[in-house]
Amino acid sequence: MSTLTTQQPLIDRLKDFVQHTASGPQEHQRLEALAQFEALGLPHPDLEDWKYTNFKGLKALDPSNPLPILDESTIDISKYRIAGLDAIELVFVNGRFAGSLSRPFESDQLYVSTLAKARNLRHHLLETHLGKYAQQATEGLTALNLAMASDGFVIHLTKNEVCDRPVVIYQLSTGTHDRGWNNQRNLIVAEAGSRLVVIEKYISQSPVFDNIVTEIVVGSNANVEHYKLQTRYGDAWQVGTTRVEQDRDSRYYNATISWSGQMIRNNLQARHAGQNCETHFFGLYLLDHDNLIDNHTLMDHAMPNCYSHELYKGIVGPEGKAVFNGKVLVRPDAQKTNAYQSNANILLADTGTVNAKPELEIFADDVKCSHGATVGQLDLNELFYLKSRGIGEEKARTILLTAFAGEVVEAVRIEALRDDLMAQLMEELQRMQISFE
Amino acid sequence: MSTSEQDILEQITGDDYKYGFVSNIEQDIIPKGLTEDTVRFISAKKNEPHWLLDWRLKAYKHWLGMTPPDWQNVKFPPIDYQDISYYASPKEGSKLNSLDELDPEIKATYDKLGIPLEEQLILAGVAVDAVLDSVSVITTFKEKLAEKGVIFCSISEAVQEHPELIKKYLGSVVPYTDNYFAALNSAVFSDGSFVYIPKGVRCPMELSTYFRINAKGTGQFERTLLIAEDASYVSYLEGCTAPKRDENQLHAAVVELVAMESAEIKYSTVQNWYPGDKDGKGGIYNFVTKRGVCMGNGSKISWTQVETGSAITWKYPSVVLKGDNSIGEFYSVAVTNNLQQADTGTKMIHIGKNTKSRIVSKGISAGKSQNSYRGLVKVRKSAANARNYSQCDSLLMGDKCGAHTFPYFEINNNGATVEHEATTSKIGEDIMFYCNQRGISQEDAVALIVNGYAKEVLDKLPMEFAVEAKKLLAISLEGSVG
Repeated sequence: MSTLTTQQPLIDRLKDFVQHTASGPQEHQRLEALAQFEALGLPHPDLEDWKYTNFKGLKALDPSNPLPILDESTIDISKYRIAGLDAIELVFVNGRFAGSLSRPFESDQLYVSTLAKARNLRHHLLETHLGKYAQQATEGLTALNLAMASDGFVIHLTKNEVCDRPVVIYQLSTGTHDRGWNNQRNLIVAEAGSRLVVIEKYISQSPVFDNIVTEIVVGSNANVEHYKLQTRYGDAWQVGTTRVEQDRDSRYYNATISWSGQMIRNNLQARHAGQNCETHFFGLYLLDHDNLIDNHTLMDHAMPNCYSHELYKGIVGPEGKAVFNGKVLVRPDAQKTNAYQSNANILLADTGTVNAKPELEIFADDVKCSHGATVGQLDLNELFYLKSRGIGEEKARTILLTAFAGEVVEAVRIEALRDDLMAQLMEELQRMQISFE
Repeated sequence: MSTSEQDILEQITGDDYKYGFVSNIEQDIIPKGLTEDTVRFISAKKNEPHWLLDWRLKAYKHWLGMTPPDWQNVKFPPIDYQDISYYASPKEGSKLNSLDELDPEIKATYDKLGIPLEEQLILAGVAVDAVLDSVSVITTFKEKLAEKGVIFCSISEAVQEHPELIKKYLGSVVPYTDNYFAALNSAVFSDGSFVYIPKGVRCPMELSTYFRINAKGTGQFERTLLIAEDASYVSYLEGCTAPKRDENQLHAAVVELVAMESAEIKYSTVQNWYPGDKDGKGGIYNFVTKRGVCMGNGSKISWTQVETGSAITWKYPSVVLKGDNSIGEFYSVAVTNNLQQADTGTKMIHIGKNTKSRIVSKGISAGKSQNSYRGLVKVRKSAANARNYSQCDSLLMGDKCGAHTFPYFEINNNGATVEHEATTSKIGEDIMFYCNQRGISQEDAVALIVNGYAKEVLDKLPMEFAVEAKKLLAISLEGSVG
């Protein structure tokens, strides 16, 4: 990469940073990851994977410069809490664990705490899993994350353990007007036969750049439900990579819902390491006014007899730019694969852009794979029907858009969260309507 | 796969390529290699005007600064462009007026291919601009076409006789800066076809060119230019077979179509070049740039292709929908077997208002082949009410092959409606069972099912081609039962 020379001093700074903060067996892993980043560099639009998404300002940011440390007592998280949800909670403020705001849980069977703590207490777990699934060899930011991240959340369920309360992770950035870089590394290990619900909620009052990598291991016959919410995300940027590894007979269920944030890139990748796995991806993105939301999903069918289902929907207002790239990969011998993918977009204004690329890469013959993608607008007949019944234009549009987007929100299985999202969705659509006028 | 199916598969794939023969015609071949002098030589040989030589040289210089593309989903060893001979023509003789004067060797070649150049030709009503290697040998039906004012000749002839048209349109759709192979073609193109349909004329017959790569070690760089003036109509057919070779041969053609107001161009291709043997040895590299512009309002360009040959096929016939209410269509059947690789699809660029496009792509992969669909639908801000429908189906036969779909959508207008569907599957066991049960053999059943699967595309071909295409499908696939 041509920028390598200008990056040289930065690399040296990062090396110093890693050598100062890491110790023990992890230091080696982190330096190795840094070397990988050095080779890969930051993403740029010449790469096929970043063709439509240009994080231009990224070069100017220093990944080793921490966000400000704030007094936890001055922070009010309550207004962001999901109402009526009894949950285990972890709160991170500017990338740091806020103990006094959190309700962690630690027992022999269930561990919900931080990476920093796990580095001392659960290093066998980290040694087995951390950095073993995410693609740091090919993704520069993932490599950088592994090298730099000082904290994150770790959830570990032992065999046959059922976590009956959902785990909610609040990520809040606040207290600065400068765009700061936050590297965070998360790990979820749900061992055989366990059951877990995780909600990640991103909240931003400062223009942060979150470089998040989450590795999720779903053991045999385990069940993980995972929600990622970027609904109160202000002007933040994020490259969020979630890499899921599923053992035989496991189920993974994901819904990613984004309607704020200035530039978001979500990488969601699941791989089947055993037979009879089931995977569900749901996604919703609403955007306008120079926002960019990019969802890249990869469904890697590496084993036979697995099932995957994917539904992503988007509403794009004026000046919004939505990117969807969904790839279904069926590896040789992954026979009897059943994969379905669907992407639907509504463009509200001709200043909006949708770039969609649904891909199928298939190397096995006895499979059933299909995908569909659409870009369109509201149906004038439907609009007329509502208007002829005395419903105003704006309201009618909101009803139709709610019905369109609601399909994804309905996929949320936790009632309290679903109701909360539905109420916010109506508000958000109304806001988009007004801005559209 | 059962043993009997395996037997059939081996028997079929073990068959020699039916059209693999070499006819011994004396040829002028210049030494291998590409330099500025090569370009000058070709231009001089064809007695070209200065502006065309300048254009070729500009293209050559541009090409020198380019690197071969590497994004396509095919694998092949790097091509040594200095190891190719860039010009070969049958020994010059005087121009021919009738078929009788034709070199009997050439005539025999055509007969072996079953080209209806004699009575069949008249019966079929097909005018053939037969291109043997690089120089058009004979053009028939010229007079009948001339009556209507239709120009149908080789491009080198057109350079001499209609320089103003060539100067105006050559490179207007595919500029030499477009891509690596278009630049190479622009520098060294040897010959090709030129078609001009005047205002309001409906071309009275299907125009057809049979390309045939003949001389050993010669790349073929065809250039086709087709212009349809206001309210005209033309249907153009292109088909090819090639003799058997051990080394890979490069074919980098460029096809440019221009449709003016309310004009319609229908361009059909049946491609059956030598795909290499079952170990992947030999075979043609088919790297083609095909593009049409719907320049005028209400114009229409339709591409239909049946791709069964070539070791590597790499082409994306595209339509730029510039005029309002214009229509672009792309119908494709791509079959790959053994170690063949195909990365093909289309681009539909919507610029004008109320433009429509339709894409139907049927991929069939068997053996150890890789078959990719890659398409782009782009709706510009100006293209209000644009409409696109794409359908890409893949059929897999055997567990060693691959089928891939890479559709791109870049939508910038909220009035646009874009739909895309893709499916991948194999021939269902229940369907095979149904056929077997009624006494239809494994092999016949596959031919039946595949022809049914591809029917939507085959139906778009002109009659003469549809027959050939159906035969090709059967030859390429029988026995590859999955």
